[in-house]
Parts: sequence; structure tokens; C-alpha cells
Amino acid sequence: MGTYTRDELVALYPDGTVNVQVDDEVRPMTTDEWSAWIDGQVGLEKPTDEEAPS
Amino acid sequence: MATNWPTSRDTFTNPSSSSTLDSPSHAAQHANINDAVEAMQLYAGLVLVKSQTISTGAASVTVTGAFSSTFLDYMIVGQIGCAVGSTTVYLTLTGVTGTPYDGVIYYNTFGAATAEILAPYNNATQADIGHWRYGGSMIISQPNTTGYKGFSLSNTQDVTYMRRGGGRIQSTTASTGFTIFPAAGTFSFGSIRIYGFNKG
Repeated sequence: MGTYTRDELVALYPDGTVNVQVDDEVRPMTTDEWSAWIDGQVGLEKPTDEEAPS
Repeated sequence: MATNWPTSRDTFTNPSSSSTLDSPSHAAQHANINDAVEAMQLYAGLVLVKSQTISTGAASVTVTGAFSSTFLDYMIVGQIGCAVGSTTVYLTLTGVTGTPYDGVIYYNTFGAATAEILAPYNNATQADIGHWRYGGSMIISQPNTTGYKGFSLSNTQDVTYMRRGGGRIQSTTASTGFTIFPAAGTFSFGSIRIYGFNKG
């Protein structure tokens, strides 16, 4: 468990891999958006994964 | 024939290939259909406003054009999966700023003898709408009006939690849509539908 560090998050979600969706339009976050999003994830508790529904 | 809807279902006479324009009356046929369609528009219960697929890897999904003055109250139903399965989902209304979201979530573990756990939040920047991995529903009251908004919800995460709750959004902004986003990580799958409750 524990919380995410920024380095862990950058490794988990590299720039260009996180998208923003508006209706059916999906685009990658800009680097600035991505950096702010990463900052917002720092310190969050590491949750446990669960299986996707069949 | 004035329509009987919603008291009872109408019975229509279909013309045959040999029917003349006066038997059954062509004008009456149009009038009957017009009456029935108007009644359907007025009294149909839930009206599908929009469907939205949630793409894998999205950190947020904004749904535009979901709310209008056509309906007062809305229901959102569907499944929302997060890459981090135990992550809750947040919702904000389009155009609503500040910290107007107050709410409470009750949750417990399937099969556990423990009582429900209470998780309130106040003056938040978003509404906690819980876990929708195995399906959920949410009613939002008057999101497109200039009055305060209310919401109630229930949903199911997986083997761990079921949640129910509700709250209020103390904003006078008339909103036309919403954004959902995981508390952590990105979405992995999902599909939601937005219905309007007919005002009658």
C-alpha cells in the first residue's frame, strides 16, 4: 500500500498516455495538463486492484 | 379520436391497400397519430437523452448537452470501470465552480457483519459518486435550473463494496453537462446513458 510518489506516477503514466475525453472525442493531455494531473495524483493512497467484470 | 394515453393504450385502425381516403378517414388517421405522439412526448416516463462510451486511458470524460430545460430531473445509469479498481469516481457539473458539493456515502462489505460505514464530505470541489464497476445509477435533480441541485445514487464496485448516498450541490448555475473522473488513475472501460424524467 502506501502513497504514490511523483516518480512512480510518471513511470506508471508517461506523458502522452493519459487522455481527456469530451463526448466521443478523445485526445492525449498536453504536457502541461499531464504534469498538473500527475501533481494531483501525488500522495494518493495506492488502492488495490480488482478484476474487471466478465 | 382523442388519444387515451396515458390512461389507456389507443387502438388504431390500419388502412388496407384497398382503403379509400375517406374510409378510414385519412385526416382522422393523421389527427389520431398526432394526438398520440403529442401524448407520448408529454407523458413518456424516461427519455433517453444521450449515451456515452468511456474510453480506456481517459483521465476524465466530459458529457456535453446532457441537461436542458426540456427535463427537470435526470438519471444516469451504466457501468464505469477504473484502471485502479477500488478507486471511487467523482462528478462535477459543467460550469459549476468553487466548493458547492456536500454529500454522504454509506458503504459496507458484501458478506461482512460490520455495519455500514458513513463517509460524509462537505464543501468539496466534486461529488463522490462511488464505484460503478458493476453498475450504478444516479438521479440528479434540476441540474439545468438556477436552483440548488440534489442527487442520490447507489452502485456496486465488485466483491468489496456496495455504496449508496446522496447530497446537494449549492450552486445557482444552470448546468448543461458533467465531467466524471477517477480519484486515482484513469478509466478502463464504461458506458453510461443519461435519461430525462418527463415533466408531464
